[in-house]
Amino acid sequence: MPTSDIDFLNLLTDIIQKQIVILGRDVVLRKARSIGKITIDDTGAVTAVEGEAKVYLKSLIVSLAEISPESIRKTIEPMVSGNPELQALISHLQVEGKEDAAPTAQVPVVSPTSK
Amino acid sequence: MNLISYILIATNILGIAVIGFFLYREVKRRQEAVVQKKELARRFYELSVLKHLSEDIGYSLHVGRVVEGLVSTVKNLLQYSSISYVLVQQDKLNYKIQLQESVGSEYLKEAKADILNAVYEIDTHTRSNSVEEHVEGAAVDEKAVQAPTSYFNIPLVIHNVLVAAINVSSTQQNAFLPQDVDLLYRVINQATRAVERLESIVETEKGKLNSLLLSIPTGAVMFSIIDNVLQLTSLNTSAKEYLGLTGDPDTFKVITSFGKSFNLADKIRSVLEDKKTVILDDIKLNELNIKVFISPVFLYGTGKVIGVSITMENITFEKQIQEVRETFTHMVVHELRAPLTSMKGASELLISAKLGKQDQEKMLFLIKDSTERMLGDIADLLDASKIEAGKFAISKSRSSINSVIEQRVGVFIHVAESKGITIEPTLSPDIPLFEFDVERIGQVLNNLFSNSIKYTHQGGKIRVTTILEGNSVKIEVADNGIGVPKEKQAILFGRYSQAGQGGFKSGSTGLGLYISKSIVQSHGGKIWLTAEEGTGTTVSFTIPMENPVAQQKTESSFMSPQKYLN
Repeated sequence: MPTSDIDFLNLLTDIIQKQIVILGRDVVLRKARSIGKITIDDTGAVTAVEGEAKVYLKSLIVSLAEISPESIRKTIEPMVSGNPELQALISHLQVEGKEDAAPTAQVPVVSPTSK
Repeated sequence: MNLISYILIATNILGIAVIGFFLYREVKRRQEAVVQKKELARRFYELSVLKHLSEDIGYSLHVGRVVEGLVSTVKNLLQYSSISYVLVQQDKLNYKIQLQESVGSEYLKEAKADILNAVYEIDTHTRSNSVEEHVEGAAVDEKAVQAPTSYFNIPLVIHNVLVAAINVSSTQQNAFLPQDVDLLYRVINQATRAVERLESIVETEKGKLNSLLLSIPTGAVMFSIIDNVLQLTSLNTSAKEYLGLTGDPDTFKVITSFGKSFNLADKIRSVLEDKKTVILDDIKLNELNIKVFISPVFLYGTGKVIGVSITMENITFEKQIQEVRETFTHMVVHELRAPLTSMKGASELLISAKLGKQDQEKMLFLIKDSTERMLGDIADLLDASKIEAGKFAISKSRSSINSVIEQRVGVFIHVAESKGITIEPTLSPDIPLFEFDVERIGQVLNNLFSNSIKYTHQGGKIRVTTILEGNSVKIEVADNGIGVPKEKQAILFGRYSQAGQGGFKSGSTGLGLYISKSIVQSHGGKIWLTAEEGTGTTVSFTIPMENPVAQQKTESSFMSPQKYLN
């Protein structure tokens, strides 16, 4: 279970790299870079985040779920199995996905730079 | 420069500024119009795709068709070099790529890897699936070396299962506008949710139908034509029971379980060809009589046959009823014809006036006996009918069971004597008076004595015994007659059953023991039979003693048979 910012950075990198394989580099990097001040190289490795990595991670999940909620839930859920907070977020995505509503309408997105 | 010159210059500058402003506004308006037009085009695309899908999905839940429908519309939104998709099937991945422009083998290889890696990443189990590949569209240029430089994948996950993935690729860098890509994701997500909802509805309805099918007493079997092969798709509990099947039998086992009484495969073939229901009125399956309906199943709204349904109705009970009816009719005709024939013969002789007085009396007695026999048979039939209608009633009064037995012995001892049969009563003096239906218990005794006399050889013996057993009295009528074969003992208390054999003519309706059983049971007692073929029969019954009152002991209980003859 990730506890430190380093752990969350590693988890961020794992998720982004996995989603690059699944959805494609252009889409995932665009989504990841549009959230906040983050440094990601072309392989998807996150080298720096301005703000709290955990908050950024939540925003990234919500942002990716906007385009492919079911596959995001299916592929990210096993990666966050040790984190109840992120698991709850994923479960919420599942419900929202079935309602055809944009996940962002219910999940508060906190910019990593807002703190 | 004079003032006029300044004014002219200022006017020109102002004019240019005004023109520039209007030009700027026009350019901006045109730019906004282009953006709006583009946005409208996207909205139009989204609506047209969703309309197309709602129509498509409305008719089919075939994921392949839905994906093909989606793929065919993407060119209205994006410019790409290729679009490909993978359909995830049980053991294989069906990969199809449509080329919009000529590309090389390197491009094909990478485009395939891009989508397959996505599939493998989402569902690792698919790695072991074989891949079936189809390439369509523009010709492959072996000299072209360019690989896809822009691409994105859209996975289709339904009920948490990856069913397909779509890949859009281009040889151009940054070939796709983010708004277009996001729109495509949105549209495909909506399509996926629509399929998911429809599947849920279908599954729910299927669940309801299955529950109904499982619980009904009618056997139901459904075979569907899948890939031109008839496959078992549904088999309910009743059908399994009728066919003697357990577990999850396959198509072959179900077809062969119908046995050799008819060829099910042939019948199914004729139903598929003629598109008409075939009814098999009475098929014997595992000792059951089954009526079988084999019907074609049509695709909704078409004449296309997509399977065969078999419904099985258990008609064993109806068959038994039919047999009972036939037995009944036969018995009534036979039993009533015999005394009527005697009566007719006697009447004719009497009319002829050729008989002496003694013979005339004989004929009159014969008519009387025949009439009594017929009335007895009719009374039995009425009793049986009351029993079946649940209207059989008894009327109890306090009385002596021993007295009733003595009275009955008195009636039968003459007939027994005429056959050289003795009746030996052994009646317990300890039995108190208690409440029972004197007439009906007398009827039971009549039946038992009558049977014993009928099935006992000359010189035989009938013993009747009463025994006090707690709060009940047990009455036994035992003979040393022909006995009853083991296989017939169980059915003797049923309707129209007779044990007649060994040269003995039954000459009865066969309702005696059936009525006796009902009378005893109406008193809360039990009746049973022990017998051995060739040795004799003992019929015993009990009557619980209701409101017993002790009675004075008399010697009558142990009187000799001679008493009844006086």
